[in-house]
Amino acid sequence: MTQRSEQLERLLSERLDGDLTADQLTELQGALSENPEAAATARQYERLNDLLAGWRALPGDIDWQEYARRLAGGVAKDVIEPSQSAAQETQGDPVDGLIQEWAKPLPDVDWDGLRSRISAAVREETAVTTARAAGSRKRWRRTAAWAVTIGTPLAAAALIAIVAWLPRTDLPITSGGGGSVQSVVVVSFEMPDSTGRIAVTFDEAPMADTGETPVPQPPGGVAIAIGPSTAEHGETIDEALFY
Amino acid sequence: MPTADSDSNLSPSILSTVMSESASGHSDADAEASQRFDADAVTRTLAGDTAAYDRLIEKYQRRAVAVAYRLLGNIEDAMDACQEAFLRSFRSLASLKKPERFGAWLMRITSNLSLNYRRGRRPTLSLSTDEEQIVLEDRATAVSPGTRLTAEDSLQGAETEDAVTAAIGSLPEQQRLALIMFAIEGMPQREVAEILDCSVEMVKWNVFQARKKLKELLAEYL
Repeated sequence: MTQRSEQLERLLSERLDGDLTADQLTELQGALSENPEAAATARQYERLNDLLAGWRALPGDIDWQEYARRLAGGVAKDVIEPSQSAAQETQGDPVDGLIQEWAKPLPDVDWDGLRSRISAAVREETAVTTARAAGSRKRWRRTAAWAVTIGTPLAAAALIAIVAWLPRTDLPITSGGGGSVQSVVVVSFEMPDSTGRIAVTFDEAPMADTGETPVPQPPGGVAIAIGPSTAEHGETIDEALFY
Repeated sequence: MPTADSDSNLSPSILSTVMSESASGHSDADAEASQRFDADAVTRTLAGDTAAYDRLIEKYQRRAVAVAYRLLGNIEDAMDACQEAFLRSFRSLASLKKPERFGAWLMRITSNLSLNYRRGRRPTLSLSTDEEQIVLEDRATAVSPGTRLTAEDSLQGAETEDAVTAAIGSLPEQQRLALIMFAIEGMPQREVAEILDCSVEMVKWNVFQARKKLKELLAEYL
């Protein structure tokens, strides 16, 4: 399609819309009268316009007043009424609303029925409370019996152990056949690392036999007096602890 | 919601002017009157005068249904789409920055809803040739005697209508909308430009391109 024919077609299209000036119209009429092919194209555009005008034209039997009522009703039902009821709920002084609510007369009440329901509810609650108290007493009795059966022997054993071991903690601790202290093992604990492990270090150190008691305790650890050394110097044991 | 009650201050003469404007010619004065009407109605609606919105419904329902019908091809679907458009526009009315542009805004909502509806719709079942013939013969005998059509005429008419529908359906969306709203429905170019969010020149160009393509596609019917 040449530029001239393109321009002609555009003029033909705009003529259908009434967009052409008087000069443009005159020019177009001249072109159409001189050029049969252009006149045929013009007829095609006019025919197309007629075809489009009838395409999917609205049916003539639509009741527009009824449809307008339907639209307005739809708007009222879906939008206005819900928003109005919401506004009524939220608007106004809440105290005024409360006073108005309180000012309303009491509704008819079946007082006998209410009394019966309350009494029944109280009895039910009492029964539940009693059952709970009985259960609680049973639990206490079981705990006491367990303490007597298991706890007392354990306590006695612990007491014996303390009595037996107490003199040893006062050092000097003799080694073998009652010899004096020859060395001490210093047990030191480090802060737990990120995995929860704690390094426990045993360091044995010789000690002069001064006959002094007790063994002096280092800060941040425990010194244990022993007899002839059996521990390897500098041995380290790692224990995994869980928090 | 009552329609067009007496306590509304919207002048009946203005209403009749804008009603006729919506269906036929459109001078600048008419367009200004129409925009004033819309702005007034929107303001009143937002102030709680719901009857004012009824006036907008009365003014635009026919145009909205016509455009939706031409996009959808089914009058019930078109009316449903139009109802949804009026509902949505009412809900969002407060967000409309230029109340005088209500018409263009509503038509944009309507056309978008119709296009979305069309995209999501199942293809309609086509009738078999025999069934089609029966339907067309029924149509032909249903018209008044003075304008009685033969079954052959109806078949030709149906074939032409199908061809036009297919040809328009093949147009790019902007060209199709410009053609339907401006060239077929007769809406003002400026309003179509607002609806399509483009210039008036672009509307003209789209209409021209659409016509040129249709002329080629429908050559055997022209």
